[in-house]
Amino acid sequence: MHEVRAGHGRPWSRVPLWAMLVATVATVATVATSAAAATSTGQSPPTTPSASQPGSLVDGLPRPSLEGLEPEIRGQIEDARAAVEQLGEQHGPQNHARAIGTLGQLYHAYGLVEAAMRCYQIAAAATVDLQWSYYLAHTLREQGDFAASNEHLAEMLRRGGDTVPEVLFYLGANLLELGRVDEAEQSFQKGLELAPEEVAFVAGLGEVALARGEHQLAVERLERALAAVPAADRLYYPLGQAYRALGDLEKARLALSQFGAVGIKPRDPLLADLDALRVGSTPHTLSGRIAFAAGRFAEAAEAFQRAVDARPEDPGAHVNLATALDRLGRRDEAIEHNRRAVELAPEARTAHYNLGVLLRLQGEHAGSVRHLGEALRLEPEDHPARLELAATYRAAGDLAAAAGQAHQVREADPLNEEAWWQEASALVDIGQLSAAQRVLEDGLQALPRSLRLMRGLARLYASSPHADQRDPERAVELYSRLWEAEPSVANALSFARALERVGRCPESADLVGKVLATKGLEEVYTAEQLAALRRLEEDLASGAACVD
Amino acid sequence: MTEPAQSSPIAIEAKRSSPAATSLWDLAVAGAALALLAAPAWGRAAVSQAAAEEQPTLREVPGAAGIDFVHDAGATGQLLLPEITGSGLALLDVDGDDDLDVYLVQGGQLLDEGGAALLPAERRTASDRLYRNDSRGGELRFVDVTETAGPLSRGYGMGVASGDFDNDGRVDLYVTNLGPNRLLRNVGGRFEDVTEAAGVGDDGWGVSAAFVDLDRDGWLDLYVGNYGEWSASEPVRCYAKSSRLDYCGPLAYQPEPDVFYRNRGDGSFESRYQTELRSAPGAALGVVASDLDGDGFQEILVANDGTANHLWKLLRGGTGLEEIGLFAGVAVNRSGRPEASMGIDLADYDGDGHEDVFLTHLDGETNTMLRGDGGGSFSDTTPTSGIGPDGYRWTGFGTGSLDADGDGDLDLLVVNGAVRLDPSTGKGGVEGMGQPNRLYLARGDGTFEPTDAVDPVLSLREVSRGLALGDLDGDGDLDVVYSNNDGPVRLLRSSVDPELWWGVDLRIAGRPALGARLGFVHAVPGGERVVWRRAHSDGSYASAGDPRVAVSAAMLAGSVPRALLLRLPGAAERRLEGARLTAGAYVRIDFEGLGTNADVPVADAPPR
Repeated sequence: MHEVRAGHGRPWSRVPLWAMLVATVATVATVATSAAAATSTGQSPPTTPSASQPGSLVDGLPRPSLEGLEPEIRGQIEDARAAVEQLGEQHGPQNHARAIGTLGQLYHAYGLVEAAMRCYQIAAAATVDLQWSYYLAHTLREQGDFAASNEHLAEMLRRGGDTVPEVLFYLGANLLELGRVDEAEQSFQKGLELAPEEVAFVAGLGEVALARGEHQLAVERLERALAAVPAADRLYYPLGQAYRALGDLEKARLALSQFGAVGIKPRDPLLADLDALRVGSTPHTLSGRIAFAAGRFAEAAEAFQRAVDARPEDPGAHVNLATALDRLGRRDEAIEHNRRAVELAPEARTAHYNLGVLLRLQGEHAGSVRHLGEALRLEPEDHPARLELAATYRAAGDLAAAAGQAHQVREADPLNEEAWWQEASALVDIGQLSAAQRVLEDGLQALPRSLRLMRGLARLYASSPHADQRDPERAVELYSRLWEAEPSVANALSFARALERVGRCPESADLVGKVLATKGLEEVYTAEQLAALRRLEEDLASGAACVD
Repeated sequence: MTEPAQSSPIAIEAKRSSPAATSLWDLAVAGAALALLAAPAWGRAAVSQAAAEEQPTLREVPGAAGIDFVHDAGATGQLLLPEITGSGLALLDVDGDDDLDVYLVQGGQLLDEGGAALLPAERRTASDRLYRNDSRGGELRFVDVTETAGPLSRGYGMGVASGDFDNDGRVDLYVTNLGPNRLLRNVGGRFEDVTEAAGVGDDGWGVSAAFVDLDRDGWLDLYVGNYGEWSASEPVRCYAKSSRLDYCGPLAYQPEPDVFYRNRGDGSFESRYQTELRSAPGAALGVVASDLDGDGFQEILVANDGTANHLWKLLRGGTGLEEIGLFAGVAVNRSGRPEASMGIDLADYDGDGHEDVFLTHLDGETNTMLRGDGGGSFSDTTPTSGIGPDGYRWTGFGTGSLDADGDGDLDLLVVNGAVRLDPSTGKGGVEGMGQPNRLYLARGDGTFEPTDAVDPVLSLREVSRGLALGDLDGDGDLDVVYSNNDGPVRLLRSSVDPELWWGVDLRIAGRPALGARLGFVHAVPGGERVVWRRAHSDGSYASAGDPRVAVSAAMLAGSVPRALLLRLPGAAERRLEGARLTAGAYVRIDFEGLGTNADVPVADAPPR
């Protein structure tokens, strides 16, 4: 689903077999052209492995329903279909079959997999081109028929495809799905020998080792893959599982904490060709969303741009593009596309919301208030928009308005931690510390496990500038709960400080001692700060700090 | 899953201003994030009875033995996701006559006349239905008793959970709807709606729910799995890869937080752990509860559609819930991909004494087998289990484990039905989305193989959803009832009919002992072996099954039970002599009634 291409620039064209295979027909746009070219050059087809009878190819052509498809896509497929049907046998069955294979690519590109499969079957049977077998293997794989998929991949290997690492990769992946783990390993190993730079094989070998219960070997292989492609953070999951099985729970947790959505698979120029076939906006929107979800924002922006090009009047396409551009740090362009969306659809709530957020970040508070206000006019229960409005008011210095907006949200949704926090923060900034304290107390009643509210309240009780609001014992209680829930250095020191304030120096010293025993502390604190912490521990242990 | 493209744009993630960054309560301490760091093999005896040679014995009962219920999806033609989501069913003894009645969840008209709002329950004509088991003389027969069964749910129904929440010895129902859920209290053969008094009318999009005594206070709590924030007034439009309008997937909606209701013991519930559940929302479809790590408390495993599954564990003292799915190995598949989980089943498939997890998924994904180690850790063994590739073609929903061919092993039944239009034809309904249901026969070594030797009804292309297993005819084997979206109910009777079987209807103070594990000890050469079963009504998809447990002689390697081990979360294990069981009958055993004198000390308790 979400993969990084891990090939290190191995040009597809350097692979002689594929170079030979894909020379004939590349895109659907060339179906008719290739037919015409075949006619004009009078090229004679190579020997057909299983010659088809004239007319039989078109007879077997699949005709999936095109009802409901975008007009451009429907037209594209209809044109290609017509070209294939008009091509006729006079140009040779091989050329005809290639055109059918190319039609299959088009079906494949739009998810019409059964039709694609049938076209590939025709093309694979009637030509010497191995690419149709490759595509056919892919469609079978997509249908879960791993065994049949492997028959085609194996046939490719027999006919010389063993120079193409991708064939070995998918062969191995299919074998793994079929539980034929040893054979999968052989395939991945062979692929790795052929393309030592292809990290997908290493990752595959890691999965093989995990499936076999060879956890140490799995760790070694998966660590190796991750070292080569750190972005492939999905590998942290099998890595974490392997560490867990080895009993190294600390490393397991560490690995799982880095787990993400980006996987790894080899470069695959033939599959990439399918992407290039797509027209219309929907397919690009779909691939853009997939790339976006995987964190590949540049790729997402490209796809969304293609969707905008295909449908410049679609406000949603502009908003999607704007979102990806924003992630790339191209905020001005993001604002422009959101503005365009609002022009096209004045009631585009998401575009108003996005503009409100982006304009605040640009310091354009009036514009931000206007657009967030519009989003709220369209949906008064849009709590995120109201909280953004509160944030804008706060940024603009209108703290009372900020508190008011946040208050509205937490009244409507008492479990909205952000709303409690924003209201309290605005009240603190106004200087209404008592009111902030009340808000935080109420918030903690509603959300007893909110560490953020707990921390804020503890801080107020511990060190409010107004003596009558300080309550050292309550601060100790809150810091104690924080420490229990989240045993971090920061919480330990805050708790220690609170204990010191109520004269519980030995306990405070104990906590500081724990902090000083923490691994990696020198990466956080300077030598001077560490020395100060040690002196503090000594003072606390001796009771001097409390006496002072 | 491959998500249809949406027209709805992506919202920029709220860039929360960070008031804390410069605010009063900035902690002076830097580096706040730095944390202080501080079984013997229970392999099966050689009991293989040539599974492949035996023929499945599930046979359709014509007309579903009188259950003439037909689900109405209320399809609007707008391809609204709720239309293809329902629905489930429950098998329970409503009238206390010791046989299983059938409760069926109905959909009906989805939107009001304006088409922009959900039709409220009070204006709905469609109702859930109740069928009483009136079987006689070995012939299954059900009678529609809806009209006299009290007010059944009239919401746009999704699923149902069963359990005795008020400890009166009668099994109650919780019905999930698109909109307010209903709690139906069993008052002896009929129900009364006590939703408002109980405070459990969550109005989200509930699908699966489970009764579980999470805090071990003797009262069943309730976990409700919610799907997504669907709105009739703001329909999301989704598209297939071809650009054709299609049903949306889960990622088109904000996932809706699940709900946990703690039973106060006075007929009412309180919502608990909202902070935790809101912090990790998912598109919940399947729910089960069991003590997976053997610590004496049950965990709740939630199968989420398209996002990571959740495993909720109660913190010490009941102070909160912790989500531990990723570490436990149940959140994603072996490659780290979240799958579109629909149905779920827990059982000891490989006979090692530990519960394993089986999850059904969208087409293009395998169904997934996760082997448990008894300590709360699971490993994805799908590739070697034999259940993977076949499931790739189908979208699995309801599922359950039963000995379908009488060889003593637990086989797996999965009912299927697509959730997207047929790409080739653009058609929905049975024609475009119907799929065959599948039976996977256990080979006896913890692996499975699909079989086509099934009753023809299982091969029909239908859009199946809920599935529940139960011994409808009281003959010691599990029969099957499943529902079809916008279609009829199917009933398959098992004709395994074991000559020798032993059943247990385990209770705690009169209520079914949900979550208990029952170990049937039998002799094998050189010692003893234990076959474990869980008393449960949860699992599958949106459905509730028979909590009674039965084992056949084939399951015990042709032997008879020497003893029965009872494990209840938080209670000392009891061992009862096998003589307390009766061949060919369900024996009701009340855990509380056992008393200390009846306890037999467990000298060599099996590993947990």
